[in-house]
Amino acid sequence: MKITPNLPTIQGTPPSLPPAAQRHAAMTSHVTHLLGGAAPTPNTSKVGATQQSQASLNTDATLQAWLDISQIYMLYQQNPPNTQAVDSLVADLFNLLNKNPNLYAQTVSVTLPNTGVPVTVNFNPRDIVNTVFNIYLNPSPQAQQAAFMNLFLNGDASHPPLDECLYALISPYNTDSNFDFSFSSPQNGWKPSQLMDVASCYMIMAALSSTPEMEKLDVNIDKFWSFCGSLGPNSLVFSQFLMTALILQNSTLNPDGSIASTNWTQVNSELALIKSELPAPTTPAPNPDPQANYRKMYNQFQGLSCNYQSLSAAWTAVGLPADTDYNTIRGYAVQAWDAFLTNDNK
Amino acid sequence: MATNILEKFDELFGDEEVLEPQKIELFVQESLKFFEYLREKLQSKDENEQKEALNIAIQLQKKLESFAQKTLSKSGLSPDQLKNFMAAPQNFTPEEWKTLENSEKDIEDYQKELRKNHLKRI
Repeated sequence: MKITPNLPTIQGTPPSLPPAAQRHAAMTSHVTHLLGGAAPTPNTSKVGATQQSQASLNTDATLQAWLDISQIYMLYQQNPPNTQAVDSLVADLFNLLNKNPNLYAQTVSVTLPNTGVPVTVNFNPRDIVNTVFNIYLNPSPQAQQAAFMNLFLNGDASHPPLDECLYALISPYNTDSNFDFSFSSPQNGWKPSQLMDVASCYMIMAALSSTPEMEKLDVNIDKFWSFCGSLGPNSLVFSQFLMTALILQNSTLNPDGSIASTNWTQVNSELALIKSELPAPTTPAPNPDPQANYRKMYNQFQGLSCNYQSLSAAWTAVGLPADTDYNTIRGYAVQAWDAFLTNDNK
Repeated sequence: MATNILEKFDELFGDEEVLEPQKIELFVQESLKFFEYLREKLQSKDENEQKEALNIAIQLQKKLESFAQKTLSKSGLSPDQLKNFMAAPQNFTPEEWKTLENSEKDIEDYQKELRKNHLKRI
């Protein structure tokens, strides 16, 4: 007698499949996460062309998040806090996460190009941004300010102090042996992005300037300015970009990202401080002059003043429209920072 | 209408803690409709309307984040493991895989359309 085995069959389900409960939970989580990336944000009308270039690289997005957070910190340092500009930055952060649905990262690891030193910073962008949102939802600007400053300087149950995170990110650049802003020799002038990386560094350093961590950082300002001098014929453009960074961090913004008003007193006071930090070149200039580029930059910088005309000039000098908006500037900063990290000087 | 969005969203989730595959596509399509509605409100010239939409957008994000985390935890996978798990068709039935592809495409198309519109405005 032929025995036909009566084996159960499950149509369409190969035996090697993971359990249904796991598959369905994974599918739901995945799709919900993707939906989070498409969900509306407070400033969807401001998403600029430059944000496309952010793609979904975790490094880009993470560094942009740091830039945003460091600037929020700067804004909360003002009394009364500049809540309008904070709103815009918080919206930027929100947008940043939406545009980077692949940001699962719990930890950011960056290998520094010049030294090969791996840097690991614990950073959960979504988590931090959620915390910032909670702070931001408080209707009192003073309460927002206090809560954010506390998070930044002391951390909370879930976060290390953010200034320590920033310190961890920046400090390897700033030791005597490792701090090196140099790129390979520019052949045909510098691209805006390459100039903006310096402005980005400056902005982060400025954010740190009044935190306890800054004392540990001991900024090697000589090397920084020496790099500025190495920009050579384009030093004026660099000066203008640096000035732009100064203006931006002391400005309030319209909902569309354009500048609404600027605290010129503060801008020029910071500019004066920077000028005073520049070491004067040797006088009289020898011939040939080994400091020729630095001398040119120094002289141009000493004559620099900050106003809307010079801001427009900064953009037109590099071939951009004079009314280039804030998001575009930020886009350049992100690209530049990434280029800085990868030492990309194409 | 705007305030009802969160309630409708809760209805979509239902009492189930994990969506069955056949509900996923509907969930995505309905969510995208909500998103579009909210986006319009966020660009409203009426400040109150805009503020209300902003609050809802933030709460919606929180809901999505919380739901994604809960279901991730139910799957027993880490975020990195989830990425690998979701990239392997052999982990799913052909029907489930098709559902995923359709849902991902819906979301991607929606985002593409948004980007196109943003670029037009610039």
